[in-house]
Amino acid sequence: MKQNKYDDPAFFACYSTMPRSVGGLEEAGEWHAFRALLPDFRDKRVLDLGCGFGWHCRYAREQGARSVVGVDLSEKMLARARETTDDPAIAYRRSAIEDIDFPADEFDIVISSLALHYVERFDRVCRKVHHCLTAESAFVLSVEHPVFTARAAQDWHYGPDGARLHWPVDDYQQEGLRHTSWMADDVVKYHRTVATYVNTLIESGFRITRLLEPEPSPEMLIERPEMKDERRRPIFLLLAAVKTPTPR
Amino acid sequence: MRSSSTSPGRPVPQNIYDDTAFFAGYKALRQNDTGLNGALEMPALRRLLPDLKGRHILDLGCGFGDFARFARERGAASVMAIDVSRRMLEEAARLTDDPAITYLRSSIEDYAPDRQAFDLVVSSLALHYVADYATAVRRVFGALKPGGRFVFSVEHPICTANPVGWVLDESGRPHHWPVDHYLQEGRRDTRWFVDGVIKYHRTLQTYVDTLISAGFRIEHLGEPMPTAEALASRPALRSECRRPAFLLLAAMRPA
Repeated sequence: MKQNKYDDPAFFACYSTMPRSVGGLEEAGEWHAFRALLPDFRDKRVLDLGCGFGWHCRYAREQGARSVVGVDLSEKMLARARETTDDPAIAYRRSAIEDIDFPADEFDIVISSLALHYVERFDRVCRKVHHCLTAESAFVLSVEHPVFTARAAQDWHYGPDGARLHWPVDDYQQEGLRHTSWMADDVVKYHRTVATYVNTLIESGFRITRLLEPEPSPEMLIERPEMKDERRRPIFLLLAAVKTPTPR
Repeated sequence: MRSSSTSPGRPVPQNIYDDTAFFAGYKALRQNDTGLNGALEMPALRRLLPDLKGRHILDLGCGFGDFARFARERGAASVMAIDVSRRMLEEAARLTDDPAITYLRSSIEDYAPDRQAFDLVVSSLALHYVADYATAVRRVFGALKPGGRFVFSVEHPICTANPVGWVLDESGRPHHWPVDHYLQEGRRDTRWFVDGVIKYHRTLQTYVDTLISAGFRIEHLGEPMPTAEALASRPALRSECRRPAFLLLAAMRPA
């Protein structure tokens, strides 16, 4: 199922007010960790899967990328992305991530920020990314952490006084659809285990180079005190992998 | 009692398996196979092993020596099996007189293996007792021949983060597993047969990234769940699908 929730007017309006939507990458709690995983962009051809407003596309160009292709299913997201730049080296394409069909060796870096937990078939995406990447090139991705996606409620367990007692985990091994209520009713996500994320990359012909469960930067913990709860459970999983010559 | 390599401020390796009450409880558990090791962890770990024929193997935290004997049955050339517990090793020695198995009493922290001496290093549910994982990983890397493998299991970080057990519903059944303090790594004082069993919580990031930093290549990450047959014969195992009890990693020292 390829849900296009970001074109839902209410969802889009709500998403547009998030700090990361207004302030960009610096407002995203995991950006400092994601950025650290990114290779040198100079003169590279970059693909961004689930580019949204295009923040990462523009960042790649600022860092010297030769060209960037941003893929997203949401026309509204892409319209905003196109309004934000007139850079001819950034091309936005409307497509579901699962449906990409790029030729072999088309890109030198593939990135995907918080989009692949919306995709049902991570294995297909990995195979397609492997196909369109040049050898020894990097695939860097972030997803909502399996500890976070296991239960559809995606919320803390609260005490009678409303205090956050702990983060509940359940149905961890039951992968698949989760009908969540993140900013709108029935936002469809897919829960996968950490094992599936890691082993699917390996089986698709990637070598894992980093696995991160980032916490907010010290500056952000000071600016936004509510962020301290982010140390109580992992919310994001970041993976960096390199294409090995041939899939196993 | 500890060797001189124990530096000031470093935690003294724990030897809970020589505690009389703990040992009695643990031995009964293993003999009756009422634990999760037999149903979940052991089969998953064995699936990750390479061909053992002719291999020189190091087993860190060998316990009763089950793996050492299994490896020899599968044709391993030798097994160096270390454990901190004298009682465990006495039991292990009683169970075999195989001259190709060497039992050595040492903590994992204090054992300094020869360089490039082994084809395979195995550790089953022992490294979550070790405070300094990074040093252990570097030593294992050095002890492996190029192309050699490190295969191990630990209690899953989801379980060690906040080791208080299931949150129960009104009728006493597991409602969910509570995760807390996940990014706060370090010592956890738990109860398992006896009070005061010390474990060390580490994140998945630390388990995986430390291997990569040491030079290992990750080959597989396992979070085993019960097989359909195990679920059919032991319905109580169903709760094991609700949160991962074990983390397994297989890594290679590149050739």
